[in-house]
Amino acid sequence: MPRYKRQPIARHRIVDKLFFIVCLSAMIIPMLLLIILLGDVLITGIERLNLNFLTSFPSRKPQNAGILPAILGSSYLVLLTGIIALPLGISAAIYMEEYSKKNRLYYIIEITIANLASVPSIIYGMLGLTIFVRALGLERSILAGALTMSLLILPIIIITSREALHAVPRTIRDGCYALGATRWQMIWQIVLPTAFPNILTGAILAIARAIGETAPLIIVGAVSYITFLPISPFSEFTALPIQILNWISRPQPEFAVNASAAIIVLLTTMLLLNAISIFIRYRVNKQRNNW
Amino acid sequence: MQFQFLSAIVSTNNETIGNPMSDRQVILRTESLSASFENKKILNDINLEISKRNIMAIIGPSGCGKSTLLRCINRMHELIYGSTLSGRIYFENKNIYDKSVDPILLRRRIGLVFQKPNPFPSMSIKDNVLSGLWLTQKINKKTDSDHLVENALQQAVLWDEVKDRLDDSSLSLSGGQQQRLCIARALASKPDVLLLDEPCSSLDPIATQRIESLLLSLKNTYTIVIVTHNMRQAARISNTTAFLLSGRLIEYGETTHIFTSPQETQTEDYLSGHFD
Repeated sequence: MPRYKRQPIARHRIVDKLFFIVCLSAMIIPMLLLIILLGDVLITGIERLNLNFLTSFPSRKPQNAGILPAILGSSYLVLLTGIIALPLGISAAIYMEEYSKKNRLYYIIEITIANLASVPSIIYGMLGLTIFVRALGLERSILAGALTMSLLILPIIIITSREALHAVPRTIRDGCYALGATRWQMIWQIVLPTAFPNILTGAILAIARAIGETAPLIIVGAVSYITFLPISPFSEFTALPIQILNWISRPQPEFAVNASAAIIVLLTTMLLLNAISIFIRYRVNKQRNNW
Repeated sequence: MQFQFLSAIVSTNNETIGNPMSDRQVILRTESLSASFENKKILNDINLEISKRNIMAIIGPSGCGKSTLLRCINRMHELIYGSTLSGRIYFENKNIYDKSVDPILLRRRIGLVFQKPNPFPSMSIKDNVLSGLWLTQKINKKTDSDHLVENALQQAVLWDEVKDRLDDSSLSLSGGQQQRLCIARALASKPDVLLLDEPCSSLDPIATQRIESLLLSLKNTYTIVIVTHNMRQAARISNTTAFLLSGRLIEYGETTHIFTSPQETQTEDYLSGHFD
């Protein structure tokens, strides 16, 4: 075969290879950085991570300090946030997908929610400070924090739930109507159970976000040094990210070790939540393989 | 050739099912029924009578409004955003588009099986069968319902294939089985009329044959209206046939007559495949 006919192909092959290498490194470099970062945290923090650390109060002495109030504060906060935001967000999604007429107002609301999802969290903090802490007089309470967090994750829950509802095919709804179901029955007994795994996945991811958020909590006044456990929604509280921030900002290197250990706890929780959501999705997809 | 072949099917069919239309009681009657979607007319002045305990086939080319006609009969058409409808449909001599008629109660008496199998993905096989009864609150989840499930699945000729895995996901079934499950689901609610919208279009010949014999066995209990693209199927199972063309009812009558001596040339052209 004449040489001039082969050349373009040879060049394409090189381009092909180059492109492959570019893509591969685009994946590997960030992964590597992440692994180095996590490795560093793990190596620094692991020695400090013991039962004592998990069950002690913060202290001026780094070797005595622990994250018990932070863990409880975070759990309390997330629990309340979930109780407030999930029913609200899922109901809003149901309204938008199943009831609302698709008119201009609907599209304005839709775009607004999408925009709200990308508003920086510190803005939500300011909003929470103005409304919940000051105007409603909730002070620096867990409730004020949870309400603020709820606002923050509401757009995410609405968007993911709407997608989940939207994914339930028209044919399934028709099938349900054809059996003589009311709209309420159709939504409650067929559409929601069908969309449930995807709604749950979205909810877990939103909750995971709420655990990690720091900025709004600083603004609404979570305290970092606390010597009691939060007992009611109106207690003052601290949360894991706040505790970490506090320790990092201290000059003594021992506190940095504490911060690393707390980061490990926080990351493990979030990875666990993400893993659960992936697992649920996997299970359901496998069960409903030919849907 | 095709035409003669169909006539041959009809003549054998006629010996096994043939019952003259005239003996029969009319259960459904449409009167100047027109339907449109976003200002596009889909059905135009349809006047059709459907008799009780009878299989009526509705034939016609794609997009002629067959499915819309079915959806009008159980008031599903109005669920589509942008749809309008005029005219009347009498079900047991009562206009179903009268204000006093609740479409939800109507749909409980007129079941519809869709072209694409649509079992409920969140439910097991058994729960799918019972779903209609739950939704209409004829039974609740505590009722002992095993015999209802077995009955419906037996009727739909699915029982033997699924009796050992009633609690499996409905999506573990094959396409043909899913369609029979949907028929079982519709039958379990004991409707008076069963509408079927090309129930066999995605099925293989064996599954199709099963569903056809199922329909034949049901015709003594139910009124069946089946939309089909398959002329042979219409000839094999129906007593009466209606031919629709671009939203108009060209003619309807006993299947034997329609297939052997149609009144309209358009029908003859369609049946013989000379249609363009």
